[in-house]
Amino acid sequence: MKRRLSLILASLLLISTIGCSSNSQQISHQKDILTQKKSEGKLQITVLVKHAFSINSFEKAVEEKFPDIDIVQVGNYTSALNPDEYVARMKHDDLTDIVMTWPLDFGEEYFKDRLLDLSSYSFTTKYNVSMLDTIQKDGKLYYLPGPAQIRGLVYNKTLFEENGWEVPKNYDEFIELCTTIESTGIRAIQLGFKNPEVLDTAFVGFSYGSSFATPKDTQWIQNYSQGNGNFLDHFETALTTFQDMIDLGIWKKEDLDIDYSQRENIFFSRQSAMIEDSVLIARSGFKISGSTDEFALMPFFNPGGAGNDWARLYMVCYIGLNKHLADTQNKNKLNAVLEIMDYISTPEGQEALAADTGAMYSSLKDVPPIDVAETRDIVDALAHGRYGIFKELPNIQGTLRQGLAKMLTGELTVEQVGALIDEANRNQTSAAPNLEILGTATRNFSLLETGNFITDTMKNYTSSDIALFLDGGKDGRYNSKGVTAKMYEGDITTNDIKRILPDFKYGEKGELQEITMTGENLINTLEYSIPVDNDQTGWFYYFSGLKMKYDPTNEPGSRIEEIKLADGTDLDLTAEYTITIIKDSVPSEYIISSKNLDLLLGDLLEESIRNSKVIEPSTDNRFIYE
Amino acid sequence: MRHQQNKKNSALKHVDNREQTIFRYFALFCCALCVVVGSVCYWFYGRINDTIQTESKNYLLEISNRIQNNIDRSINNTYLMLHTTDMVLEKTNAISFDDLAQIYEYQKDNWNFESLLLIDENGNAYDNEGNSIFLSGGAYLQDAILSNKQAMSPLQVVDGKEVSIFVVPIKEKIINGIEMTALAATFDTQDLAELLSMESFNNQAYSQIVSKDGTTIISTDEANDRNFGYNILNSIESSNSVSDTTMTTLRSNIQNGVSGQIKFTHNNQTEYMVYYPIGDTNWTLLTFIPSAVVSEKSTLLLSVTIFISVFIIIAFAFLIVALIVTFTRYQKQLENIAFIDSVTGGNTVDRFYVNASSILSKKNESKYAFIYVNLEKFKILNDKFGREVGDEILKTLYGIVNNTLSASECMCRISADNFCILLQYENKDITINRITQWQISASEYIEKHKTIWSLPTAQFGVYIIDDESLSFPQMIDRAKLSLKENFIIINSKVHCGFYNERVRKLLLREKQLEDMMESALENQEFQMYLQPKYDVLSENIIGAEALARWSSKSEGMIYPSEFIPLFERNGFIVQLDIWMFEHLCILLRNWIDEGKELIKISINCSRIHLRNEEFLKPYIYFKNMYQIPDNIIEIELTESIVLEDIEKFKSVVDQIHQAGFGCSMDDFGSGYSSLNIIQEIPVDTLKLDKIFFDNERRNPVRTEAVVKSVIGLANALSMKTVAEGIEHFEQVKMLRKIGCDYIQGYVYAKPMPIHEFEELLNNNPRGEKQ
Repeated sequence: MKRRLSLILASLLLISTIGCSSNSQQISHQKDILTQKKSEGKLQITVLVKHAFSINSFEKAVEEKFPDIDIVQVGNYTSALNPDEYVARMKHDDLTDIVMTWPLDFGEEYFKDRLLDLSSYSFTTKYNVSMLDTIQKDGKLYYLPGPAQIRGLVYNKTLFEENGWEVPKNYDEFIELCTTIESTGIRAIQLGFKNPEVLDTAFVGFSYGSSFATPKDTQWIQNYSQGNGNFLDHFETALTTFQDMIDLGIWKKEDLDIDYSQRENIFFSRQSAMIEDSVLIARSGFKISGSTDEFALMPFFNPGGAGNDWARLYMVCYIGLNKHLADTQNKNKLNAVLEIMDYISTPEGQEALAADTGAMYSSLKDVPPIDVAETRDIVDALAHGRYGIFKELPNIQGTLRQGLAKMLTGELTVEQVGALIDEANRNQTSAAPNLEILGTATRNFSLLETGNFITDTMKNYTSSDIALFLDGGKDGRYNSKGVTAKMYEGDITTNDIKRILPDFKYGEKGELQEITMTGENLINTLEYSIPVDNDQTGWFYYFSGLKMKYDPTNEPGSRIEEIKLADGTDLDLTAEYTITIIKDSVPSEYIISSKNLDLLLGDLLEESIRNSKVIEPSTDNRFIYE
Repeated sequence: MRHQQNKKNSALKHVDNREQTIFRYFALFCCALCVVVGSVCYWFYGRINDTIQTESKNYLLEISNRIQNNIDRSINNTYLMLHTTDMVLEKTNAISFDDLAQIYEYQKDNWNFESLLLIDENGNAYDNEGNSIFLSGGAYLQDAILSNKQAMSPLQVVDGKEVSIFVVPIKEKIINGIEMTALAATFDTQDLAELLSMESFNNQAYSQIVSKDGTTIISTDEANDRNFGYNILNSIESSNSVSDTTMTTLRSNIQNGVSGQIKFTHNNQTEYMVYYPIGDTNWTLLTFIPSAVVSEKSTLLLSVTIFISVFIIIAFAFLIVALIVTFTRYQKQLENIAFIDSVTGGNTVDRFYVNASSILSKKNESKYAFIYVNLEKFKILNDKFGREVGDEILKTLYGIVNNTLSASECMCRISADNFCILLQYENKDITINRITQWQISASEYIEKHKTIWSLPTAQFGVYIIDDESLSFPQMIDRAKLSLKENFIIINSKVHCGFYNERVRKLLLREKQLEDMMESALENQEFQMYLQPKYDVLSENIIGAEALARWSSKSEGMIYPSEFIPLFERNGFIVQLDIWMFEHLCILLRNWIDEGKELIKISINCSRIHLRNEEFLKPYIYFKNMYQIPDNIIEIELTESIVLEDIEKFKSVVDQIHQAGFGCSMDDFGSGYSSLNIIQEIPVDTLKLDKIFFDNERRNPVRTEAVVKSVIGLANALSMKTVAEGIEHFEQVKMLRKIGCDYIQGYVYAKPMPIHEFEELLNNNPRGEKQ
């Protein structure tokens, strides 16, 4: 329990502090909040964790291996599923000591200036050259490959056995199986296409061996990316396969409304027999839904004779180092970080990384894939080298996803999609998300200033007494309800709003509410916050309408040292105050009354910035934390 | 004179300095020689090292070439194997993967491959069991396959492990209905890596294969041990041990397939790297060798060179040290000889002069006294107790005095039993007191140590230095002279005299006489006087004693008491004695020629003569020349000669007798001779010193008794006796009474010129005053 408490305390570290180990002065003009009791005598190494991941097992392993090092995770739980947050950090020179990112190529234009070239360090020789070759840039190596998940089609083994369904050996058997399953009223496979990138899985997953794996495929794609040829010359079979599967009812239009978490719920509730994922999900049925079924992996299948079954390698992350570590003043920290990289480059280190991600495939030399029961059906493909990393098609990936979605809705045929993609390819204008520039930030915001900006906007909108908005969590513990990133100087786009807002879960969207609450319960709220995933402690709020001296490193119940209203008057414990929040972000038992505002926080922020054009951090020093 | 002494000391120092300068130049020469020898050795090493380095680099290139050829050969052999297999496929009309499996089984033992693959026109690969394989051997391999070229790659991944894959195009072949266009085989990459191993350079060299941008293709364990990274060119660049220009050239050369070599330092190890393109691949062979291995031979040579240089330098250094030690020891010995008295362990006179000179040159207002010390009758102590005890006495006394001296005082032993002391002088009483204290200390020492010897009487002649221009020997003389007059007797064992004006005048007088004596002799200023000797009974002249008188033209008569002691000190007495003897011979010759009756004439022979064993030669010469009969001339020797060495005295008397002279002992009784000695000395005549008669008037009875016993003894020994210095007739009566033979004294006649004597002899041979 003590350990648990200390971990909770340790998590209370503001990103703005830990996220800029080498150059914090470039990020914030205001001194950032320290929410974690510092470990005396330990060297803090900050790690920017891949989106929607935490590396608690890895942190524990490293800190046990190197007692003088304190790993501090900087989470990336933004609502933007794409790596915009990472790119924004690179652009504004706001990287942690170690970065763990995925996919590989985002922010490539900043690699040289922001990341350390690792190619001269000896730990790189421990990796398969073939893997390093795929991630090197002009002979320079900005990342190490993290362990990879082996992904395939996760199936409900229990359900299969109950129904006498056999694991197919090829594409035809797979189609037959799907038809059989669908005939029982159970969805054969549900990928959840609401997340657009999942459409890649449906497309590539059933055409990799026939359209992506061979030298000729590679050659054709390279040539096409130069603006040559027609998409259907090479990918007609693949698109036709996708269309066939639509026609067979394996992919359905409604799948476009199913997101990642929903498809899991569907799968674990036996509403579907298969999804695409890794051993990690195959083992988490009970945790997520209480399902006692057994789950296992089967390979993907391609129509055609060659490479008809294969496994997907899903790189959990690529691991890079902040270039500022090479600065003279960071020599000791660099040495410590290089020791960690050495450790990562051992089977032991790979295992530590894999523990958080369910990864089973290491790029280290002579380390075979982990042989577990869940992957027995996929062993043959692995043994013959029939595995690959999804390849995104340069220039046209976004357009392809749009085309696939429209094939699902029946709006476009194979030929039309081919023509659409060819058009985008020739114009080198992939259908990127249409980003609106909402306004301009006069300078970089700290995380606290970003929280202040959000709550001020909320309070101003409702003219309530107070506004509260959670911090997103720290160091491996996240609540999906709070501020997750900073705003940086320059243009503020719709994507930046997604970046600073959390990746809402449990069907939450960030709906605004105006509630009433007594002063006493407001204090209780600020002290104890709400439970998230049964994790009650550790969260704290950014606020507007208050002035507070607050120590987030203290135990809940003894954090507030002094609190007043923004005008300097004392808080009346018995009085009722109007407070603007987002739904489900304060303890419901303290709410006296609530009013839904029928407005999402994201929309409010966009509109607010759109109207004000120029924004800048507040300077009222409302949050005194030291 | 003091100035001269200083000059002498200065000269000695100058000689020392000159020797030291020569010695210093010699040492510098040795050092320079060391440097030259070291430089030559180093230059020699540099030349040899360059040659070895060049040869080693060439050898390294040769090794690289050899490895590259091996790799080429191995790759070509593998291609050949695949072509052979293709022929087998052709000849066996293989149409299925089963046929391929049979060939695989047949060939795998011969060629050691892991799997045999067929590849279709799209690049789909199939193993011998028909399993589909994804080719992951990199873009180069994939391009080659599509271009129907043979190619290889070590980057094919199977089951998480990288293997090498070799591909050759084949004639179109339908297997299981699939049109195959290439044949491939996979090998354990380690087999290829083994080609990179080498046994040269003590297995210290190693190789690896990189792509044209420097990324590793095939590496060996040895290369991995060197901690290079994935891109070795980046590793070298990040080491900052090569210039940007060199790095650019290196990258360019590798990119363009040009071979070459560089030197760099990585992880604190300096290495040579030779790069060599491999055949028609896009690979480059890198061969590394630690520079220490390349320069091993030259390092050995350097070690030997350094060893020799150090040896030579040490030898020279040893030589220099030896010279210094020898020189120092020699100098020390010289100093010891020159400056340490072997008897007392104290200063020699030279050291004393140096010290005294130094003290006096620094003295400020202090006044100093120069003391000359003489131990009386020390020879007797030597005779009595032996030389060792004598030395011990000298050492003890030296120590007693020396211990009381201050740092600004010094002393030495001059010679025998004589010492010199430079003493600070305040006044006479203090000086006497210090001398007294020395005597007391010496007495206490004797008392305390119960020595077998007693304290000898010591003479302290003190010269209070008032003229620093005097040389030290002159000061010694003055100190000595102070003992001649009015010395103080302290505790009966110390005689202490102070040099004063009177003494100084005496010295000046002596100097004056010395200046005059040579010319006086030439100018016949010396005259022979004769003092008659009278027979006691008959009162007739029976002989005379020839005495020298100096009738100076400038000063008139100078008395013997003034010049005889001086002449005895400066040795001029010998010349004077001979001159007197010749003139006596001439007188006697005249008398003989004139037919006069000869009387016995005695003549003094100074003790100084006896230092020359052949002192009688001139006497004999003149005696013979003037044909003087025997026993007419009697040679008088003084009693002091007997005291020095009685045996020698007896021998001298014998020689005198043999030469035809009589011999008498003059001044008998003036010394410390006992009566017993009379029987030892074979003289003809015993001349009683006037000292016997000085007390005669106060105590005539005692005088008579003593003289009587002497005369009695002499008569018993058949010696004639002559009483000297007789001035009263009472004495004549007494002498006559007790049997003395002759009288010589003023009572009858004083010494007189020859003509007066002749006149007296002719006219009044009896004593006038009788």
